[in-house]
Amino acid sequence: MSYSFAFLDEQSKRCVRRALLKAVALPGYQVPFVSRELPISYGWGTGGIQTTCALLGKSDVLKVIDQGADDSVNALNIKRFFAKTAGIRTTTLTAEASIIQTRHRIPEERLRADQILVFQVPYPEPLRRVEPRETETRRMHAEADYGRMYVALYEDIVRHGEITLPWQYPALVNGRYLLSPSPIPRFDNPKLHQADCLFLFGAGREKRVYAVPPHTDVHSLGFEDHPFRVESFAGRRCSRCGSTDTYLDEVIVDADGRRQHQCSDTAFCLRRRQDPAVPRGWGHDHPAGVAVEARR
Amino acid sequence: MGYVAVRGGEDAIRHSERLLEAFRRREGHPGIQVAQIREQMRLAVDRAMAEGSLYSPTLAALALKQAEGDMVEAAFLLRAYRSTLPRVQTTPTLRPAAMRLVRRISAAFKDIPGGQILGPTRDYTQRLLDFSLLDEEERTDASLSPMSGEATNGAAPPERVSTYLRREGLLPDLPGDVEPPVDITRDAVAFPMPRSARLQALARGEEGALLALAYSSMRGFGNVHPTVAELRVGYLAVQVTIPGLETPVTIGEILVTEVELISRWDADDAEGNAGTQFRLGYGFAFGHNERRTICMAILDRAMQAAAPHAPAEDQEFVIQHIDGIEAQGFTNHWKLPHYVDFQSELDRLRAKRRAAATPAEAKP
Amino acid sequence: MTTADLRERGFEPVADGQRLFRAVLQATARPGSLLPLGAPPLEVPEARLRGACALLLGLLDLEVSFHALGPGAARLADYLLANTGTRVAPVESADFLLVAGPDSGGRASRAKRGTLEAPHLGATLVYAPAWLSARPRADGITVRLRGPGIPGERSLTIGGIAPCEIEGWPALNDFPLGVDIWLAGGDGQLAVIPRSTRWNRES
Repeated sequence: MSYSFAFLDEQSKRCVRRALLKAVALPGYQVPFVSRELPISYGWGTGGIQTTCALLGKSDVLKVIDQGADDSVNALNIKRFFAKTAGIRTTTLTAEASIIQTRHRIPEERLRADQILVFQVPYPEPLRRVEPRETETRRMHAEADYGRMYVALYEDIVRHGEITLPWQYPALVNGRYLLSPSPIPRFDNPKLHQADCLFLFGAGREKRVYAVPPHTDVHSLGFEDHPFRVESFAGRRCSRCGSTDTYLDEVIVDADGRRQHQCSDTAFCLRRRQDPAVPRGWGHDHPAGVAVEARR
Repeated sequence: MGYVAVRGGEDAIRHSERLLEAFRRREGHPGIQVAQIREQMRLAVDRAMAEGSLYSPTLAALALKQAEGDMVEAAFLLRAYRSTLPRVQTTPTLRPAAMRLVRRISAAFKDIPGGQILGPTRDYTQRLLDFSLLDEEERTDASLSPMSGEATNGAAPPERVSTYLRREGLLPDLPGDVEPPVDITRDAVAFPMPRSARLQALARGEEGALLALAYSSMRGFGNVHPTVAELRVGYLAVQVTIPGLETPVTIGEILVTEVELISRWDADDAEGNAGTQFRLGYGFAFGHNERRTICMAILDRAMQAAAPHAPAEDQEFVIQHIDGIEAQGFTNHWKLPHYVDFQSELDRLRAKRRAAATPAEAKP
Repeated sequence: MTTADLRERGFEPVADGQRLFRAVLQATARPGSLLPLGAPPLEVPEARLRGACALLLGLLDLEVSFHALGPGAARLADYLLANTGTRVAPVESADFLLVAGPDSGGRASRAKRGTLEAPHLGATLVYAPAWLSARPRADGITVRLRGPGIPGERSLTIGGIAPCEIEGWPALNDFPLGVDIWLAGGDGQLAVIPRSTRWNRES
């Protein structure tokens, strides 16, 4: 038997497409949609996959990354799925891709207006950490009642002297909706603010899609005396390309527990190895130098 | 070679698939035929059909073979396949009261019109391992043909026990106008869910999850004191409407299980009735699935509580956590690389420990 | 006229559906900017309506509802029903409203706007202006737009939609409640004004 182009049947694609259109018209708001079962498990990127399925056309070029790496086993599996069901071209070069599907990272190089970044999201609801009930979080978004999130962050400060959320740091979109940027590190949050590209977020298991259009305000939560900060990698550099301004993975290299660091974004690391002067380009809004912790 | 290796990822997947095949079908053993699973593991097939939400004994048997007996994996295969099938039409409503019965019992009354039909059940067997099955010979005795539905001897199907209770006013009347049922695989349904959506979610739920939650309710984390008014197992005709023909056409039969469970309600319910009537819990499933349908009926009943006082009564708690395909996906996803997030956590903890080790220099 | 007569042969659901979706997605992400719609030559009464009908062919189905207003609305409704399996609904509850003429006779104000708990249920209004322009023209209405998707401010000039209709648009929105407006020009261009856009009228 043969499958539809990009696996999903046309009716399912329309359902996802309509939801995506409403999501872009309502920046940061989680639009419910009916998630289809795919041959890939819930929890393994089905929301991102259904979003990409709805977007894909024959002329698209697709890049898939996991933790920033093109050759992670899961990213490869997803690429295989699309190569098989859509026959489209895939790439590891960020600049070549028209659609990038990602798990847990935003690429280091600034994305263009003709590119779309699709996030795989396990936890679409930013308020879930303060409220387990769906009926209640829905009300909180309806009334823009985000007080309890601020209280939770304040309690963090009281307990630890600072806001300790390492990833999935909540941000306010267009001054209205609180958003979970998916489990990207806080390092990547500023890239969502006033970007050139469109960001789409797909949560298959939780059955939501949401979006951040380009040129949109996205402000990660903080307080005047404890503003939002990104991680610092001061004193560390990539052992492959020498970068000091990218998000670095720690790797244990020998039995003595010696550590090395490598760029999480493997494609960008490759570019820097060829040309160390390649800029990241996410602009002045990316405070790469604002330290929060990690003294070495 | 790491989990995330520059070139090795593709090779790793391919090799893994070959290993799976080697485990699934070891050399020197005759392959299990799909027909054997379908005919001799019918209860596994029935459970896979229910959780896969697709009635096809052959495909369910295939899924079980491919999944090496992993039930949730088999149900997953069926669900993914179901996603690809076009929706031709919604059939006219099936009426389980017209079931061609194979088994029918009631715990509420000793005798019921139409009789108690034991049918094929392990309820009264002794759970002693039968070693003669280790080397079973081919069956030649065809005197007993299974599931022929002859039990009712062509007589009209007996009325439901609940009908008698309704006539006496002990069960609320059936509502006159019924909302069309929603389909949670087609409509985005929000909490609080209509009953049809809850029943559908229960019908597809993972049996272990249903069992645990229903058990919690019967043991005391809940208020349901259940009695099985009726349990039926039998064949239902499936009909379709053909444009141009006045009456629907029967295209086949499916084997189903249905439970109607009654319980009294001690506290005031949503309509303010204080224990003057029984309430009904309903369970229905493809195939022969008694445990599932009893649990389904208990949970259906529990979730009718006006305000939840126990986990089994809380529809957000129950419905969000009983889908096996969703749960297994998320459970298994923890095996995916999480090193970027973990890196942040590592850094944080190390910083804390350093700060604690040198209190004089501790910085915020 | 039978259903067979209304069957559109010039629309390829997989390829056209995907291409048109990407266009309206980009247009929604960049409100007021003009995109070539590239609608196929559909068999609709007026060429001006091709873009709007193509978008609806790509996105309507039995899970949503629509309502057509204006000259030729009945025939347009039959056409869309025959080709998408969608449903007709009253103006107040339709998911998509197709305004075939220069205005909706005031009925656009009755389109549903969603609720605070479910703002995404607000309707989509589809218009078929004669033309769209990024630069002001005397024979059109110019609007200036700000908000998500717009760096600074963007200007859009619309030809063939009645001034009173355009003047009514701001009142439809009270973010997040509101409607999303698709402008599928007879000149083959597309612009979208989602409810997240703030705007005022010029000229």
